[in-house]
Amino acid sequence: MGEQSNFFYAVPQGRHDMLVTPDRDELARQEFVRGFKAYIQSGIVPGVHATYHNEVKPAFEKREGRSPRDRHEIRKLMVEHPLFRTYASMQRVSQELLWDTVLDSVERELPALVARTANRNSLGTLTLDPSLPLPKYAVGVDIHCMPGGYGGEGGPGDVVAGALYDRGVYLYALGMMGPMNDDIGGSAAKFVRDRYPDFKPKRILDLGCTVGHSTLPFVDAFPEAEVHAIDIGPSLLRYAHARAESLGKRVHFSQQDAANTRFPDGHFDLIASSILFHETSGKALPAILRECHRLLAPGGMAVHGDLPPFWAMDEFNQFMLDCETYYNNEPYWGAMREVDQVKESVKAGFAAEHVEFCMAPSAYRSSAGHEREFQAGEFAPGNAWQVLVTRKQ
Amino acid sequence: MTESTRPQDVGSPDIKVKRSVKGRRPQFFDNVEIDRLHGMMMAMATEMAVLYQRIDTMERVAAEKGVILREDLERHVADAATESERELWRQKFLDRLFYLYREELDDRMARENEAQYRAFLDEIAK
Repeated sequence: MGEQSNFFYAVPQGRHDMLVTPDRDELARQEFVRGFKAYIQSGIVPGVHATYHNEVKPAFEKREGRSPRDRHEIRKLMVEHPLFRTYASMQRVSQELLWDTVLDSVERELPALVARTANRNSLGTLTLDPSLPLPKYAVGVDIHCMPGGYGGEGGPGDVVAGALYDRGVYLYALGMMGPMNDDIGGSAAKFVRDRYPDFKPKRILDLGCTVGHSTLPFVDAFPEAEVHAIDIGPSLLRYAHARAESLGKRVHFSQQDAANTRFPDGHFDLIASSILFHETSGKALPAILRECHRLLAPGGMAVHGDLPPFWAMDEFNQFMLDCETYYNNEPYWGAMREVDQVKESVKAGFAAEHVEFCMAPSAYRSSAGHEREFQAGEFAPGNAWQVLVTRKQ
Repeated sequence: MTESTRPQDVGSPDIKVKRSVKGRRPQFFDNVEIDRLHGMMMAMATEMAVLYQRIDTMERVAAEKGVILREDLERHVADAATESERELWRQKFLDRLFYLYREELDDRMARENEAQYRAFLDEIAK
């Protein structure tokens, strides 16, 4: 289990005024936790794969005269195995330690971070709506075990959720989403430009933007467009606004529910979302697709980037990915991957011939030469992001 | 969810920072104490990595400057201010080490359980 994790190239996180500056002990903890996560991937995950394919599956086949039917049956077999238990426990522990180490930096720097959100040049805007009901799927548990969750609001001017998410996601993704954590948005924006060179969106909306990681690439890709971004968390949005301003990007952030926004019909030419769908719910996902149809102008399109649906991988990889549902407070992670998003898009009003899944090549990894195969149990799925593209005629 | 914070000398008086996670923690082993030992072991390993990095840095910097540290370190006596800084550090260290017990305590106080989390999964999937 001790293979070196040398293929995890740890590019330093890109700086901006809102990013926490860990002190030397905090940095050592954060680097250790990132290393621990990388070790689980390179040192333990291959052992879990081998255990299933060489031991658990053949034993089951000998006993039952058939292969395990689906990820649920594989799960029943694997949860009994000590190596899997250790793997799953270590994943959980690494996730808890990750947030805890970042919280140390955030808590220490909090007054300065709050101060830095004030008095800046205003390229874009920030509009909060304290009366907005927070959707239960987003706040019923702390998603991916981030203490306080997306909706967290600990007091006036709070930016904890944003600061925690920004640094935490970088460590979680092992730097594989690039120094600005923006590879999904960057890849989706590049995909739209490459595939539709004549498409010139006037207004763009990013749904579930969190701290704006994936929003900003759209500002760069479409400099003529007016870019809006929404989320439900006030702390996230305060942070997102200050982060965008510090990076010199003009974005209009507002606190809104993606399933029911306040924008008028046909207001946008391009709508994007990045790793949003798997953190919604069985009711919210179709509602968001309907809202996209309402918000798009004729000729407009929506591009939703998320991790691959279950049909795109074998049952064992499905089972490994589904661990997030059970062990990482990702209640919709597994169920979402079974949803027929094409069918739901058609039900939402899009014509079947204008709905498709495409692979958007990773903008960061192809440029940086970090190409590699997807391995279940890890976050960054290889060299391309799966995007759902829906166009309105 | 109850609030639980560390003994601290920093932070913002107006903003409460949560440490525990909402959503019942799964149990991986037959005996929950093994789960906790895993957490403690890795929290301990993290702190060992921090110490290692500190000492490593010290030795490298000292070597760069041609300084011999050993005798100075042997003779050093900590004053009261240093001792109280160290006690604060130890309390934070212990809190980090016992993070799962803190979670358990918070869950019990908030009456969170596995059945609630499963019911939530079912509701969200609908």
